[in-house]
Amino acid sequence: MKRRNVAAIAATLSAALIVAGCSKNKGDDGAGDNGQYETRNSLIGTAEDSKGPAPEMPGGRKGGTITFLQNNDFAHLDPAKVYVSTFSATANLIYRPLTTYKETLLPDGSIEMRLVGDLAVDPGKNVKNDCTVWEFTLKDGLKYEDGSPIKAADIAYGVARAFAPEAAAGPHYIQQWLAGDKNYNATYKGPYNGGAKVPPGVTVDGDKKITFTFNSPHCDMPFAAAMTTTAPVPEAKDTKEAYDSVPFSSGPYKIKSHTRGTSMELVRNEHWDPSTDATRHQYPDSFVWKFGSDIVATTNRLKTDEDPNMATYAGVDPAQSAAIWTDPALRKRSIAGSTQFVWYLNINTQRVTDVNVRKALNIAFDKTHYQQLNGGPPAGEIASTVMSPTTAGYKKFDAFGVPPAGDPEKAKTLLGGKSVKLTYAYGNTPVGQQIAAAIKEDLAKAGFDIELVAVDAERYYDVIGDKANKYDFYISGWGADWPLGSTIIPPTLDGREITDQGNYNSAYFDNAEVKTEIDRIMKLPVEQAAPEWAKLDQKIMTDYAPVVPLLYDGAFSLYGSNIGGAYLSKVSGCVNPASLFLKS
Amino acid sequence: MSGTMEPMVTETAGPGVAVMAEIPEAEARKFVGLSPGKLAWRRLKRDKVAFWSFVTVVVMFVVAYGAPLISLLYGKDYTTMNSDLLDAYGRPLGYLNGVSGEHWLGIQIGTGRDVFMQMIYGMRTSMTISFVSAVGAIFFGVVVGIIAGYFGGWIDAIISWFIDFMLSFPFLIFAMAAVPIFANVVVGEAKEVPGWINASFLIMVFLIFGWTGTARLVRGQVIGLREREFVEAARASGAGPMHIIFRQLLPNVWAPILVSFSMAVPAFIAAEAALSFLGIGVLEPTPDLGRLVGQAVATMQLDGMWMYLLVTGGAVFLLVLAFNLFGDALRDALDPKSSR
Repeated sequence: MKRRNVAAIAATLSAALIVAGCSKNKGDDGAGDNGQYETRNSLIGTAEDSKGPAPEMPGGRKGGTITFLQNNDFAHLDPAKVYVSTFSATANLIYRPLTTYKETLLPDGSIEMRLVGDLAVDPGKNVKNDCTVWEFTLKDGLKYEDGSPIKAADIAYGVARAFAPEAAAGPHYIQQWLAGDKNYNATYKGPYNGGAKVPPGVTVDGDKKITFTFNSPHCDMPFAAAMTTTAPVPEAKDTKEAYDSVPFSSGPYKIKSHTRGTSMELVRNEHWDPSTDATRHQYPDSFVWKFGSDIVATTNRLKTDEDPNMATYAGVDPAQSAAIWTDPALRKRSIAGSTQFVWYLNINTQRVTDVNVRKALNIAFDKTHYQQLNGGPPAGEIASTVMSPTTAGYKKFDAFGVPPAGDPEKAKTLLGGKSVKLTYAYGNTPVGQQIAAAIKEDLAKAGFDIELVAVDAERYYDVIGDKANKYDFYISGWGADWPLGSTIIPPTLDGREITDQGNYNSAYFDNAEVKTEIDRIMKLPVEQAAPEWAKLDQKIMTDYAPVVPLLYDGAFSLYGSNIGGAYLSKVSGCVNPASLFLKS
Repeated sequence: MSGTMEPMVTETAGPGVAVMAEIPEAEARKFVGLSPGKLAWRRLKRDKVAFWSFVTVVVMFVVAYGAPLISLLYGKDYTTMNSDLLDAYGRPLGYLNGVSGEHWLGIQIGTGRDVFMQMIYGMRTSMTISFVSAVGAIFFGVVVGIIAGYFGGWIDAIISWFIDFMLSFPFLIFAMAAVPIFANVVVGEAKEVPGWINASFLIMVFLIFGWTGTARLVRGQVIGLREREFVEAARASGAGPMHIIFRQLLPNVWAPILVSFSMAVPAFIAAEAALSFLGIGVLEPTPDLGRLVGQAVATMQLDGMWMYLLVTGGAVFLLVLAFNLFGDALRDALDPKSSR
């Protein structure tokens, strides 16, 4: 479950002063950029799709070194602990899980995403057809960086490691499903201190077959298996704490050196066989990560093309994003588009029980103004659905049929002309304050009387995640763990997920009809479930309006002029290093 | 009407006469008997820096406190968000930061509010907070300083120890921790903090930390004076501590007090701006000078936005500089021995 920090959007300070004289800003409404936000549906691929090698990138060429600029070192590279999307994008170069996403660039510039087998020959076999038993068979010819073969037992050991209490930073899906309990490591605590090398519920049959058996149906297993939890770790190579800095390679690159906080160098893994890999490439001779370059420095270095072989996961400095966005030369060397993150205005349904007030908030809210205050189109596209456009089955709809700038008159009619007093909580950042002032003024037009309450930005998510909070509405972001409604709607809008503290369902939305529908869809095979989630999304918005979708969070970052093969990965929401090459 | 005004005018001349005896006669020109107050005023009038800095301070006061009137004449207010004057990215349209005949100093990036209006209303907020804080801190500092200096002994020891304690207390960390707690206690959880309460918190924080310097200064002065002949004489004639403090000592420490007041105001203006910059000052939608500068600094890289920084940063600069220069000149005038 991923959360995006409110402070991330706050404007940052900058050192360089660039004055371009008295040029007149004639205005650019940001139109014509909407081609960036196309809709795709993710489907489960076949065994045929899972076969290597990956189709060559147009113009793909071997050789050279690509340098990545980054502020902080990767907190984790251990497959049991990797969760943050930029960590997994890098981990994707080093090791391979059972399944993975194959992103195919279509001629019209859009991306088709399919879940395919990675180490496995296909994206998993639903043995009993009820999603309780999943069998994966490994491909032939899989090798580690030392030439030794990858065995099914190593995957089981990798999953076992994820049960260890010290691996809590990683995703918990597979562990919880295997244990049949949210508190997954109550009894089995991983392979250390005498624990079994194969976790309960996992069976290994020879060197090629691994089976996961769950107590209840989990039709999302092929997607959960694409997380790093299922990457193989040979027991003999498990260096425990040190593994977090230098994991053992099963992918196209291996770690040559990693000096924490300074740099990391990846070089080719000669034992990686492209014919076994449907998604990765091995174009550059090496990748070098340089840490300690903050967002402003990174933006300025890439903007001036200091070294044409540089790239980054980091977004553009918010203060400069509009200038770079509107510069055609720089836009050519950028990736931009929607990510899996969506920003919502959560309406506390425990306090705002009148559905008409919630609908009126949806109708009156000026999303254009919100987008403008966040820096315009680079910050994201205006949203109207709970699910992001990167979700499988996504269907664009607007439950209220109002323009993005809202319709205060219509909202006023819905409220019956009466004044409604509501409290808005926000993280106290400079931009947060401006947005608060704007919300107060915009909603006043529809007859809302808004009280603004500033909350310490670092405590913000704790405050709104407290069930007993006294606020009526507040903004938060949510990103799906895999592109299905099942990691968006159940965690954020299922009443059974509500606890006293640390809630992700910060609208505290608890509705019997929606819960029944969630249970029904969860039991459906993924392909059938995808459109059903979109229908449920529409139903929730139309009938109950517990949130106001604001923006589909946008990714926008630059890369050097000699870099080829860059695209915005719909999996990680950043550039995919496994497709990059140097043009010359 | 005019008859009733008369006594008040004569009364204001009073304190100057009272201190005449303590200043050496050589200071005044032998042939004209001028009071020290008149002498100081004469020196101040001759000082060009003092004159212009005083004029600047007065103009800033008039502009800041006349903000509603200016708003009426100017036809704009500080709250209206002109999103139609911004492009889709929130940048002002037109030249620089949207400078036009309508908006003389342009509009704010992001919100599109009028910079001139935000600035003068922000000045009003900043100046009110810093003025009230300075008056309060000086008053408190003088009282504590005189008590410590005059009574000496264990009272002085305790007060001096407490002043040292306060001076070693980290101001910023205290402010960051205390302001949200104040808000919670006074306004209650999950309630909007009205602008004036927010301002009172800041004043309180400045009061808590602002009095120590003055108290030390006054204590030192009083220790130097309390054994002087005129105090001894008063004591010998049976004067009580109240008379000695207010009639004998206070008039003699008036000069350093005035100077430390004129120095405290710009210091508080700068501190208030810094706190707003850090997000613990006055909150939106109450306009504030420090917050304006903060936004201007964050966006100065953008085309033409240097104008925004120049205007808002310039206002803070001018305000602080004018007060400082005036304070300097005042010190020179009141105590010519200290500067030359």
